[in-house]
Amino acid sequence: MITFTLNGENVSSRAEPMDRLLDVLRGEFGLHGPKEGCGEGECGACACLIDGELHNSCITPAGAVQGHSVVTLDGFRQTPQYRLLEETFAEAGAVQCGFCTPGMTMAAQAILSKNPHPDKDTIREAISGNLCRCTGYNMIIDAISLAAERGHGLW
Amino acid sequence: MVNAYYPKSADEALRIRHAHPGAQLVCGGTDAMVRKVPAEDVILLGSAADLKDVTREKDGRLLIGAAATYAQLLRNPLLPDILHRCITGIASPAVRSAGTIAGNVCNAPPAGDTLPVLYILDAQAVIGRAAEDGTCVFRREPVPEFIKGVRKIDLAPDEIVTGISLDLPSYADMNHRYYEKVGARKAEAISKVSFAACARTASGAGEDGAPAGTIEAFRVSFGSVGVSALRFPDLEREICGMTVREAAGKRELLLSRYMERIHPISDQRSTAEYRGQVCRNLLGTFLDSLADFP
Repeated sequence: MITFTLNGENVSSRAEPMDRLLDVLRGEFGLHGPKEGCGEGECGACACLIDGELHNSCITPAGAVQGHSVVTLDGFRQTPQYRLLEETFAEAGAVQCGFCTPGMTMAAQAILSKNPHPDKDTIREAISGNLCRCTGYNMIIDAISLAAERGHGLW
Repeated sequence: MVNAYYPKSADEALRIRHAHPGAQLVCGGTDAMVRKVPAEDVILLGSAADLKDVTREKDGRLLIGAAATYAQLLRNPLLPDILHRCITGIASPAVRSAGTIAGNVCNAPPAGDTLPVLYILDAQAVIGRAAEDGTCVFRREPVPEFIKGVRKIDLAPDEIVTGISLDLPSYADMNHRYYEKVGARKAEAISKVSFAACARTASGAGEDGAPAGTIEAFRVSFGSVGVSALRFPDLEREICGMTVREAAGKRELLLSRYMERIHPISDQRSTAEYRGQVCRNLLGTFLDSLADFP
């Protein structure tokens, strides 16, 4: 059994240690926030936070989360930080098909929790592991920048 | 049904591997999870806290624990700037949260980003093994010798690389440092060519009376253009002792001597010709930069 904290709850998983965390999250726990875009750790659609750090769940062994804390978009959605990002992503036009959006949101949370006032280059680097085929990225960068501006103590 | 082991320390990891020789070693998993090599026994090294330590050794070398992630290393001021620069160019933030230097060495891919930097830092793999009575013994091997070929390393089934040791003291003396990774993108790119270099030039008349502008140390390493990173100590020894002016005068000759030894290949990322030209350009730029005194 692999025991860990998932979106704030203590859980245990019957997964094998080398099963992909992505499959555990989506299959065993029914959390569809993280998505499979590439299965190789390149696109970031599967991104989640492990102990507050951004990880690609498609290349994370399930065993590696033993004793750690995992947060997916599904859990993050309940937070005021998410609500602000949702607002600024909508306002900036940062969502088209929406497939990259969960990963982008987790990447945004990852950088803002480390650096509440990132400049645009820092934001670019923070989302450099998240691919978007629709927006051309600038709106996403604007959305994160806007959230930082309006954040006042959220991060 | 896979047997997973979560050692709490390096010693425990070594004893487990001794009991299960050939058990798969996984830390971040960023390579293993893509290559999906099946194994019956897996040792997850990330649970061993002491494998994440970064410590100064008695002789001043820096020992980087095998499980220290790139993200952790970027936050650690003990690491030399050139290694920080190199790590920043690896993959993406999420991959850097999991990947490790020891993993890069043990995977030994020809385009391994850390390898040229490790080569010029005279890096050693620190390799542990548990003896029958449970005590742990360690040996060290220079990384260029530890890497035997493409994805081939000199590691016995009962051994684990517990750390990578860098020669910080001699790097600290270098007054010229250069790192460049050439790839299709700023992030998430396997390099077409990478280049790490450092040198020490004396200015004026040094304490030992060395004439102005003598090249006292010179180290360069090229990545992605060979079976592993390339470094040619014999060519470096020829350059040491030259003055900067002399080396400038021999620029074309020195570049040719290097290019004779480098035989890049053409693949899906680049052509042999492009890679060769870029190697030549980077080395030339570094040689030219020796005339700039910081």
